[in-house]
Amino acid sequence: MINCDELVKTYERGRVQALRGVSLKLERGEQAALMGPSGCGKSTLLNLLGALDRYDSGEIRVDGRLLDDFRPFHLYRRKFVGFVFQFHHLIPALSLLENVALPLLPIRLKRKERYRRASALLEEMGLSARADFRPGDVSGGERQRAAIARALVNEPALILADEPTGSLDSVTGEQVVQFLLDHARQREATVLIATHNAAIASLTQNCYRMSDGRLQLAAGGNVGRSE
Amino acid sequence: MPLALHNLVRNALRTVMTVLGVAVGMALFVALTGMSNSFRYQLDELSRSAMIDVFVQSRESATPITSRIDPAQIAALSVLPGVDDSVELLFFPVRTTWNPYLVVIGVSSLDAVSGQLRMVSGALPSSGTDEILIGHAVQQQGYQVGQRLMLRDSHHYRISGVFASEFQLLNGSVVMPLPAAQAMSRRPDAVSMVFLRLAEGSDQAETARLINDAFPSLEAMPAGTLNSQLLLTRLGQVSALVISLLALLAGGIFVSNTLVMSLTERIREIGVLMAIGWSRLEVMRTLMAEALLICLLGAVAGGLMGYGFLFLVSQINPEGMGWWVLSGLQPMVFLQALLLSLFLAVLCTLQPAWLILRLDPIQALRNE
Repeated sequence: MINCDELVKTYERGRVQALRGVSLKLERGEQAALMGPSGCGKSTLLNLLGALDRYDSGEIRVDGRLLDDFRPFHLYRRKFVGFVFQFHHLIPALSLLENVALPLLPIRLKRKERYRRASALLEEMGLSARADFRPGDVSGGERQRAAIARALVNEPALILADEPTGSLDSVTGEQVVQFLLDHARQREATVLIATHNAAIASLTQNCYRMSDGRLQLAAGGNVGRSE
Repeated sequence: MPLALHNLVRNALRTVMTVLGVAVGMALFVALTGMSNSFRYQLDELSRSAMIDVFVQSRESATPITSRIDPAQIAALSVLPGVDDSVELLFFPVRTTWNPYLVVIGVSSLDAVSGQLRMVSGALPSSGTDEILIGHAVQQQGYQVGQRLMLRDSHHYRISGVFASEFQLLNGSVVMPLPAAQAMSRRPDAVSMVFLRLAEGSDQAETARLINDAFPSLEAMPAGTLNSQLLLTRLGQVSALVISLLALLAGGIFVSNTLVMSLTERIREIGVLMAIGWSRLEVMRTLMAEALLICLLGAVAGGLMGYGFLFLVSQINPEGMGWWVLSGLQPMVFLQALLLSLFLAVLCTLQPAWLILRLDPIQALRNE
């Protein structure tokens, strides 16, 4: 599904090396965790895989095609990628339903169809009763579930979750991630979760560890695998 | 569009203030353009209904009131090739208790302009008498046929009739035979303007050119181009346009500032929109929709305010001005205001659009 080879990414004209030759292969439907301390390059790798940022050298292939072939990248993100952020990042002025339907807005789907798809996902997430609520009026766990619904609504092949439980207590966090993994599994979507939390990482099939811009073998936990 | 609506409602007070800023600019545009158009429309009506082909006044006179034409020039004009008939007019203002600028019009041949003056009551003044006609707006000051009206030098003129005209300015004036008007103005031979009617087949523009060449101190204007050539209407038009555009520019800066503020507050949201697959163009489209909504609301509110102002002016009649202001809805002015608001909306989104173009989604997502 996705294969990155010797990715290098630096900031501040090369003074800060975020990724120092990272290689990673994820198969379709694979669910993996990316563990490591803050600043080790987890978010940078996710941003590169989601084409939110450009790498200095190396290559990323998606289904065998170079990422550059998917330009313009907003279309790549729209069709292939679903993002889940640490702080849900729902738009406060919109209801949960409108937030979930947001990725469908540029696709020119009819409003009725957009809302039908978003409603169906909210129902799967157990949020039907909260569909018309604004993010500020629901709990943290519900907000994060709505954010997961938003990431799934365009049926992406790749779901990138950056510390999705960072703003939640441990129990709610695990429930939310389990939720994400279950729904991704039903859709055969590949999932990569960046997390500090070993308990969250243990929910995935594979665990990769990052340190100082390098991907290393996972120590313990679930099965670790590194290029 | 739904997102744009939500964004506007998010800070409702700021949105309302911005709409009001645009509305004031639009109101000025509608009111000033409406007033300028009223005058132009009535001049057009005058020349059309009075079947005038060429207007002649002294060169560089901003208004007929300041124009002077010599008797010798009048005589020469009337015998020009192609000229069928000529009517001499004298305009001057007199002060009355209800209007400091009541326009008195002396006409050499009242029969020639009777088509323009629809008699409401009474009859045309008899020559050699001190009889006058009053417009129906003057009648509303309480004057009737048969009564006497005191004008300059405490002289009382007998009202022989009341007329109504399409030309609103005339309705607030007093019309009398030219010799009586010249006597009242204490300038026996004074003439402000000459209307020429041409013989069948004569060309208006050609005759006007002939006059302009032969009489350097006079300015002849074909009836169809009167509005574009008359200094007063040009001045009025340019002033209205400049003042309106300045007000609209201020409104535009208001809108642009609001959009930039709103954008700055929502940088992270824009980062999220980009992360979930929105292009910069689609983000800009939302911003454009916000600007359009603000400007269109401003245009509608400003249009209503502008027409309200025109209506008030026409009703309260400040120093006779209201007599030539048409308060009726002028669809073209409203349409122009709407088009201007669209242009303004596009203009206002340029700066925010530039910000979006330079926005890095990663930085936007990290924005607190």
